[in-house]
Amino acid sequence: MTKHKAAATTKATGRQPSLGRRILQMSFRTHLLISALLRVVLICYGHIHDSRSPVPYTDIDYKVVTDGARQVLAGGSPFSRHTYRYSPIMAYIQTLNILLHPAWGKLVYATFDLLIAVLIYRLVHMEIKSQYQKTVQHLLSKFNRPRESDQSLDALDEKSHPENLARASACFWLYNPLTAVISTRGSGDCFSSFFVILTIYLLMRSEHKESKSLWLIFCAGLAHGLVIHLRLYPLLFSLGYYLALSTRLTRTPLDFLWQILRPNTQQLCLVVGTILSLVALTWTFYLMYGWEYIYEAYLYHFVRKDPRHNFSVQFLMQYLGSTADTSVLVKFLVMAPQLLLVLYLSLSLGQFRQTLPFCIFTVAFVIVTYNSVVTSQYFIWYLAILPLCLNNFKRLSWGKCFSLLGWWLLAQALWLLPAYLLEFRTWNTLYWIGVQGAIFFATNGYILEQLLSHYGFTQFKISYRKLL
Amino acid sequence: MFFKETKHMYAFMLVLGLLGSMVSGYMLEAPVVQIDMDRVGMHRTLSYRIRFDYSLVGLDCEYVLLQSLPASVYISTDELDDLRRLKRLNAIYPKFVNIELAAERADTVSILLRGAPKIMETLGLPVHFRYHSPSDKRSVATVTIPLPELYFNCPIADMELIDSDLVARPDKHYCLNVPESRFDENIVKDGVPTTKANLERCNWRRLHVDCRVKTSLRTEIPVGNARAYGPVLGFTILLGWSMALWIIIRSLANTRRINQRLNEQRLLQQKVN
Repeated sequence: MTKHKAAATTKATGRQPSLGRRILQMSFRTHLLISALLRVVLICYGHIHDSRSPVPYTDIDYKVVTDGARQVLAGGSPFSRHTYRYSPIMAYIQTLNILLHPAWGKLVYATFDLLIAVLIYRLVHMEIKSQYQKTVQHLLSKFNRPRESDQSLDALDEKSHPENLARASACFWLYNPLTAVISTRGSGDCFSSFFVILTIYLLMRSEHKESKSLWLIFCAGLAHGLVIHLRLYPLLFSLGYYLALSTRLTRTPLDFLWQILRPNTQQLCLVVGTILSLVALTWTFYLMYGWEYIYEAYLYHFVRKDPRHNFSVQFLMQYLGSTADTSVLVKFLVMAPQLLLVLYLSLSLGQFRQTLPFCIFTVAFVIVTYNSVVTSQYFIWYLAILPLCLNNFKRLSWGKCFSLLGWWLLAQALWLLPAYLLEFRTWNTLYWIGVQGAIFFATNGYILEQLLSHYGFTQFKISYRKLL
Repeated sequence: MFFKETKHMYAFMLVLGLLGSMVSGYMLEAPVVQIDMDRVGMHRTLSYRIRFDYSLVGLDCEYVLLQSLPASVYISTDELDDLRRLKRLNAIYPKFVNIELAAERADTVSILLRGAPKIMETLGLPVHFRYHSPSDKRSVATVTIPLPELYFNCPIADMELIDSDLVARPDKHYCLNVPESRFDENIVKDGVPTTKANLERCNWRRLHVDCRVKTSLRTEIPVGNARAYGPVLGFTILLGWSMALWIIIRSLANTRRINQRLNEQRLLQQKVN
């Protein structure tokens, strides 16, 4: 359809479309192929770079996991490798680094990076199509013709066409230099992000496939349990997933309590799936590797004290308080705003499947923004979900979008200056870094507020003539 | 007249010196280690230029430069592994060094840089300074990196070629302790059998070394003010709460409106179905 339209445009105007437009009009498969090639080139570059430079391209965690895999192959525990603090699954994946080629793990992560794009494409396509049909139904109901559900997408203008929007959303991920570099450096964040999006995808799909609805939700639960096992943070998405399966709106605290205490069948399937995979995986690895696994993979993250500078608003507080005893009340006061926001966002955006991707995006954004340690790698947690919501920011002008992106980048750049002066010039910029951390935090808060205020979900331009 | 006599005296002493050296044999020059460190930054490289007397070069000997680092300084074992892989460093160091600890909680560490004696060799050791715990007494912490020690090991026949004046403690031999990356004094115990491996491992001698420090090995690391903790904590809590409440207040209307519309859609859907 797109090809036909492009040809029609060329024929009508007598001019070839611009390069940018032609790139945008390429099929999703072509974009996927180009991106795969790009990632293979980056992996090869990393291999050559590492063989020559003392400053490696490869992520340090990749080496740690490879060493863990070596221990596994020798019949031992991956936790014998110091600083191995991941699920043993990661070491199992990377055993072929030793048996086959050191870049094997990077290929796997880059593949998951591409699979995320496939999921984004399918999810956005499915969601826009479904939302369009609901909007049409809504419109038809105003003309007292609610049962004539229009299946064709002809009434949509080109910009709102699912194919175009889904492709644009996937390209936003595929051509993001940060994500491409992070996966080809061997970071496993794309691997866990894939399962977060898979969970959302399965939950959304369950709404359209009523015959397999419960199975899909159960599988979503399995994926969610797996990703909690891999990384702890998706645990905070659970409330959003749970509420998205409710059949009526929660308005009062009593309603909410009722929802929690009296789950429906779908919610039960989700909970059972989640607990089953989480417990099965964790219990299996506990039997294999004992208490060391529980401590290194989970508990260590709660007791870890790293006073070194990072983007977090809590950096200066943590550094200055590294020798002081912190009371439970203080810990609560620091943690509570984050939990309050997670609760608020889950309740206000997690109650419908249409808003679920945005709910998960905002929760991930809050988790990262309020985290006690923030590095660039953490941005992947929400950047992977952002493309699922792009279509919903039509109320934001291009200028506003670029200004928000500009503020986000500027706040990071301003933080980098004192960090550089401390690290490479030994200036006492600890307080300056603290101030920049607070500015970055405030910038993130402003961006989140703007996204929340401009979020919309039915912004279709529908031709009434074609529809009726 | 006086100058003439002095001149003769110098010439006489020179001849005497030359004759003396011919009689007693060639005097070995002590190894020279020139040390240099980047002037600024938390991440620096210690550079060593090691010069051996030419008569020691070519012997079947090896040396180890032992660099002790105070608790304020750490090495990244992963970084050193990379340098070893690229054959840019031949060193023995602990298997694991916790790089996250503040100086006050960390331990000292020592690294052994290995090599075969050459007329001139340059080695580079990347080191990193740790954060120091905040203090209400000082705004900087002074860290001094100690001078390295040089150990030498040759086959027993070649060892005799080394002048005893070069050896720092002629009465002592040292054992190379690889797992702990250090040298232990060799104490011979009665009843312990002497194996060839033990002999080789414990045949190390500590040599006098002429250390020439090119740039100061003393540096100042910034330290935060512990008294600022209270205000910073209060500000962080206030900022966190303000941001959360502001976001909630500002977005409440839109999220309510969305939920209202979606609820209408759901009710309609239920009616249609």
